Amino acid sequence: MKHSKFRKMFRQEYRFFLIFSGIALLGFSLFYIYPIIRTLMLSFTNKTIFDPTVEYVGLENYIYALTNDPLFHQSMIQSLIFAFASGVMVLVTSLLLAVLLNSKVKFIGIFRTIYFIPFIIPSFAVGAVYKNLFNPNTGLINQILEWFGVVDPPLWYIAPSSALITMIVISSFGFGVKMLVFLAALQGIDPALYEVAQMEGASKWRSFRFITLPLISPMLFFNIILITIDGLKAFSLAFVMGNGQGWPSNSTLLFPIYMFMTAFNMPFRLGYAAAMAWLFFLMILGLTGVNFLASRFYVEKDVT
Amino acid sequence: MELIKRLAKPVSNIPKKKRKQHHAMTYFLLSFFALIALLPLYYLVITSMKDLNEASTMATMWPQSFALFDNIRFVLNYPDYNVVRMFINTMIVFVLKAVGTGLTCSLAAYGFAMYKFPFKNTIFFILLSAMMIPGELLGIPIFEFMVNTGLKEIAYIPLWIGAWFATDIFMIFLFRQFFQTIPKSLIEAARMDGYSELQIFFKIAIPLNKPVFVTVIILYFIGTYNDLYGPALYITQKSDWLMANSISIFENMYRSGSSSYLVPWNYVSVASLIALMPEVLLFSFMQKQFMETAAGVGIKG
Repeated sequence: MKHSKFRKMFRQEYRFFLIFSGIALLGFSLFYIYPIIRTLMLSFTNKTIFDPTVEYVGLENYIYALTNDPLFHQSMIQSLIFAFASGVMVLVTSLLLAVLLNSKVKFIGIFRTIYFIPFIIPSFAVGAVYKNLFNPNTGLINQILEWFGVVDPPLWYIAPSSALITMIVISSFGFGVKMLVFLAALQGIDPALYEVAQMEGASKWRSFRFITLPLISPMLFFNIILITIDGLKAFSLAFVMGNGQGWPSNSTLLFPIYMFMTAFNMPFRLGYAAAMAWLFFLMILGLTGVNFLASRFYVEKDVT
Repeated sequence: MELIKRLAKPVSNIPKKKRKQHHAMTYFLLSFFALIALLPLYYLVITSMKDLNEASTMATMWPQSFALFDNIRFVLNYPDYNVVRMFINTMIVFVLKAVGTGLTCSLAAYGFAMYKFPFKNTIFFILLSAMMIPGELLGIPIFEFMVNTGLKEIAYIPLWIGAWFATDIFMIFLFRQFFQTIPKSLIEAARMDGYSELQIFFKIAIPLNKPVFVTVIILYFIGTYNDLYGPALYITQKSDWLMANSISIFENMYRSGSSSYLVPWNYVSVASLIALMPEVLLFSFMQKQFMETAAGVGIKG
């Protein structure tokens, strides 16, 4: 008797779960499971969007991308360089600024607001704002460099040889959010620890190295993963900087831009783009895995 | 720990002079980075004051000409630049996305937090791991679907439809965290009083967790406002343009076939300043929530 009452209650719970969470299960099937399967199927075909004849081509798309497509290689390498270099820049600057902002000096609130300013420039405007700043003819940066006696200032985003570097420099202005994440972590550290270190005669650097870094290492890990994935997926900046096509001469062509051009510009080669998207996904998976493995060496386990 | 605290309290054995040096160094570094952080905004404002000739040919630290009002007038009267329309369009997309996500994700999260279901935790884990899948991969079949069904150009459907199916898994996660903290006794008491489950959700769970909804609003405002991918992919007609389209109008004003062309930086700057106004307003009114939200979830690259 009691048993069946329990069962009835359970079933009611199931029903409530479906009433509330059913929408998520439906959405997940429509917007995640279906696209994954469909993309996988497309990747084995030569489908373009308006052409009704679709042929099964096996692994040809994958093989072509890996062995024969110079733009695929170039965009992948540029994406990796960009993700790594801008990741390091953002990580170092945001950590440094967070440490600075955590010091107990006057007017710190004003500095915090100022450091947040680059963040409020909408990302679709970032390109235009920094292009203006870095423009070799009309920009402020080269003007300043000339004051400091630089004879031959770089052409920045105009020249293929320096365009990617320019993009990396610009993206390192995006420290605002990560800085706040670090700041929150720093403020959670017990100040008594530093006082003790000071009494023991530890230098600023040593207390940073042996107190701060271990204590914020979980945050560090979280941020490294975020930054790596952000860098690989960078779209807006590269889209604006390269006029949507990796200008000048493919030097700012990051992988998401190349995929966008392949899939969504004429002639809409969905099949090939799908194969590239899968290769990209596998690479992200691999890198995240590497990050997780590496984290064993620098994340302290008993941080509370 | 207690001992350490007691030990640490009264003493501070660094000589005063040395500490002052320390502060000088800190201020120097703080100011240096403040200058770098201010540089883009400074040059944006300066450039918006220059006239066309100066802005597009010279690099001047301080404007030699003053044409701010002419520039504003020119930009606002430029035929393609219908800023009110673009802003309203953006707000429509924002509201549709934020309301959809706020409603469906909180519902879904409540289910995950409150009720039993076979393999519930496994399902939730699968949802969470799907957050790793790049949008590029999911976007192709959705684009194909939108083109084939003709929904691509109708009422921004591709931009917001997903929000009504609880597809923002991170939000489900966030809501669930908050719902799990609601005391079970409170819910039992409400059941005793004859509240239905949906009533409990709308009258108890939601009012108790208003801060998450503020997070949704801030996140979605920034997210929608900044999004370039969606508009680049789905918006072709001028009347459908969003704020994200507003700056390239002037950047490409004098663009002809050739690769080098004049960019009217003064107009571009005015348009950029107008475009960052809403975020400045949101930021100054909700600075605390804004920063907390940003730090909490690490938005925008």
